[in-house]
Amino acid sequence: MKRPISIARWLRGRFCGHGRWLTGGAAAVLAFFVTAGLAAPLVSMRLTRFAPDELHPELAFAPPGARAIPRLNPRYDGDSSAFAALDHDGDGLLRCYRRPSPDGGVPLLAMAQRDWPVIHEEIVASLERLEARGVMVDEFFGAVTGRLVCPALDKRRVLYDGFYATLLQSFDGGAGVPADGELEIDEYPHDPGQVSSEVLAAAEYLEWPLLGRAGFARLDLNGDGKLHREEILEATRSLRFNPVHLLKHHDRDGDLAISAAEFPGLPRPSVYLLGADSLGRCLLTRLLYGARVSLAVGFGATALSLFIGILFGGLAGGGGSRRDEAMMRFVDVLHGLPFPLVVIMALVVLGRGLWALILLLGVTGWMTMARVVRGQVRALRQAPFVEAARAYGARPGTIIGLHLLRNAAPPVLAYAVLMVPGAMLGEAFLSFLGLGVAPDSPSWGASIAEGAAHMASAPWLLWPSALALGSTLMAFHLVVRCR
Amino acid sequence: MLRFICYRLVTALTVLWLVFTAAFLLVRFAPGGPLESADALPPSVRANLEERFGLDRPLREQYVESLRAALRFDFGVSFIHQGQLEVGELLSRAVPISLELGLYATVFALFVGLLAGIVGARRPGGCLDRAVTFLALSGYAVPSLVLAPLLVLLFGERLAWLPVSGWDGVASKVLPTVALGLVFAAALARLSRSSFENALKEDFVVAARARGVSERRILVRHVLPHGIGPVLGFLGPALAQVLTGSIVVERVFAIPGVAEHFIESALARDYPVLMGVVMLYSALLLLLNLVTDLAHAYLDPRVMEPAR
Repeated sequence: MKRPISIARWLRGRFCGHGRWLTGGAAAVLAFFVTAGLAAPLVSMRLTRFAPDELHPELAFAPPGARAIPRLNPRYDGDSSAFAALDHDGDGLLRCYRRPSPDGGVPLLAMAQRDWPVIHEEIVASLERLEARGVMVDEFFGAVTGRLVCPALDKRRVLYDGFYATLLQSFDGGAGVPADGELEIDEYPHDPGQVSSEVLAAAEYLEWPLLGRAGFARLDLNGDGKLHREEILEATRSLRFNPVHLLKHHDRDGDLAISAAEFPGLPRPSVYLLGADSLGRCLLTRLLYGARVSLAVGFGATALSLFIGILFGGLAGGGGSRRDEAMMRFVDVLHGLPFPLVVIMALVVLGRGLWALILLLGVTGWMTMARVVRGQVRALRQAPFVEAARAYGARPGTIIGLHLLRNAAPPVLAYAVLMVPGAMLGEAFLSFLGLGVAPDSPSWGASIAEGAAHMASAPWLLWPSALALGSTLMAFHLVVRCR
Repeated sequence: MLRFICYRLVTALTVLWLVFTAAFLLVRFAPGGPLESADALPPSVRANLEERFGLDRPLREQYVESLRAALRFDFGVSFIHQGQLEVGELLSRAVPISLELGLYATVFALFVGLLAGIVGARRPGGCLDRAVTFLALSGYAVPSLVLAPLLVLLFGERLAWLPVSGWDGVASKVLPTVALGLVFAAALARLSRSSFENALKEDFVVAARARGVSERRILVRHVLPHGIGPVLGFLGPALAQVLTGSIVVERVFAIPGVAEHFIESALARDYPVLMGVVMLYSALLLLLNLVTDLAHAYLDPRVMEPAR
């Protein structure tokens, strides 16, 4: 009699025998994407600094290397010279205080929700805590939105705005370069004589690079060596920062105010490592969050299929021949259904969502699993060791748990691992058609669809998600490959 | 044989009926039906509309009526297009194109897949065999979803050899056929390789070699008919994948086939068209399953016995 395979032996065969490099590499790819998916919030906050739904419309279709100032979690430049300009009441603190404003002010939470569509729970909690104490962070918000009356800052803001607003009109077409609505480095003002002295004084006050290559680089967010109107507009907003983040991470003494010593400087732009999509969202962040969605659907649907399949297959294989026949005919009938279409129809009719997707893909994917389980159970119940167990009077629970399940596990698990990429592909397929989890949720399939649609103008959109999906599917098949 | 055919036919029709019933119930009890958004309508207009779409009669009557209509392949009028376009008319324009694409892709896949299978099986473990195994594995990794855009990028945009959209002229049909067929060919290659490898070990091959039959004749006359059985058995389920893939490929290459109407109707909740497409694809799939099963049974009569 053939010795039943144990999972440990099976794993040893995969990772120690012939072709271990291939299996090991595939396992590494899988581990990478699982980690990326699990750690997506952490990585996006620490590395990319962008939230998956954070829109930067001025950078739509920007190539890799473009820069923008993250709204939610920026890095600061460590330069405290801007503090004086922000501290418009001159008390040495950027404070949260209750402002008896004529219009009553916008409630903090509502304002934050408007300005940052994606707010992490902890930030919401800290905002609620602030509001419960009757605090408004107007000084920060004033700097952000420019709604606060502050003569010192506003004068400089007006000067900057005026300078940047006329930048294109004044200098486009200078230095022998034809006027094309964009400003190149040769056209950009280098000489202090080209700019009014008030603007120069304001720039000096803030130590804000204005002229020459440094000033140009400050504005050239997407790094293509040209200044577009949108980039200049974005640069004028670069005094923006997230007061909540500032308070949360830099208010060391907990007085809900930032002193000059605590002030971390102005927010720095972060780089879009893989470029931006059609709405100016960070592609790398969305790729990481897409791994989350993809793996959630893959493992969730597989778990459901596994459950139904084991239940159905076990009942069919463990029962009499008539029950077995009837149940397996039912599986045959179901097997003939065009499931992608049925799932699409059900999604359209019943509504979308992560759980709906997991449920539908799970409910439509268990038939082959039921066949595998049934085959195993039927083969094993005749096995000598099961008869022996029965003969010495083992209880049915022991037989099922110790003998049947344990010995049926390797093929069933191997097949289950192969079902995960199937479900992931199903999710990508539905997202590709625009029928995925939700219209704006990050998904590899949706990303591929967008990349395919804008292939000629933005080829960098397609590669990351296509490679991620392809390598994950390949890795699953390599780990459980047949000889 | 007759009993087998009858059994398969009855099963297929049952499935078709099940699909229809499920689709009918889903659509009837769906939130956001055709008149949901129109709750501001005056009652008389609403009653008029309900009468026109037959929504005022009892459910059982509606069911029987639409089942009868479906048997004539009449799924009513599309909700969009101002109620001017019959579903049957819409589909009759799109179906030949989709069928053509599916046919080309299947033929391409069979040719490439079987060829790769034979080449790989002739020298197991050899250089070519490893290449075939790699091709087969990459078929899993690169579904049509990924392959189609990449082909467009490479051959359409970078090299600009072939047109990347539309469906007229031979040149525009090459890329969609390859994009759809290659994934399928990979699966076929994998299956036929192992099946041919087993066939090459059979006694009759050894006997034929001993008789001095040429290697080519052995392959074509002995190995091919014997090894093609499992491939045929696999063809039926694989056609479902071709069908899914064709939705993607038609979308990427902007082919005016069924997929376009299907997606459009799914996004716009145009239930008559949605139902028409689902029924059409189900019927097609079951028919093809039936044909491949019968072919399989003809080649290998053991299939007919219920091996339960």
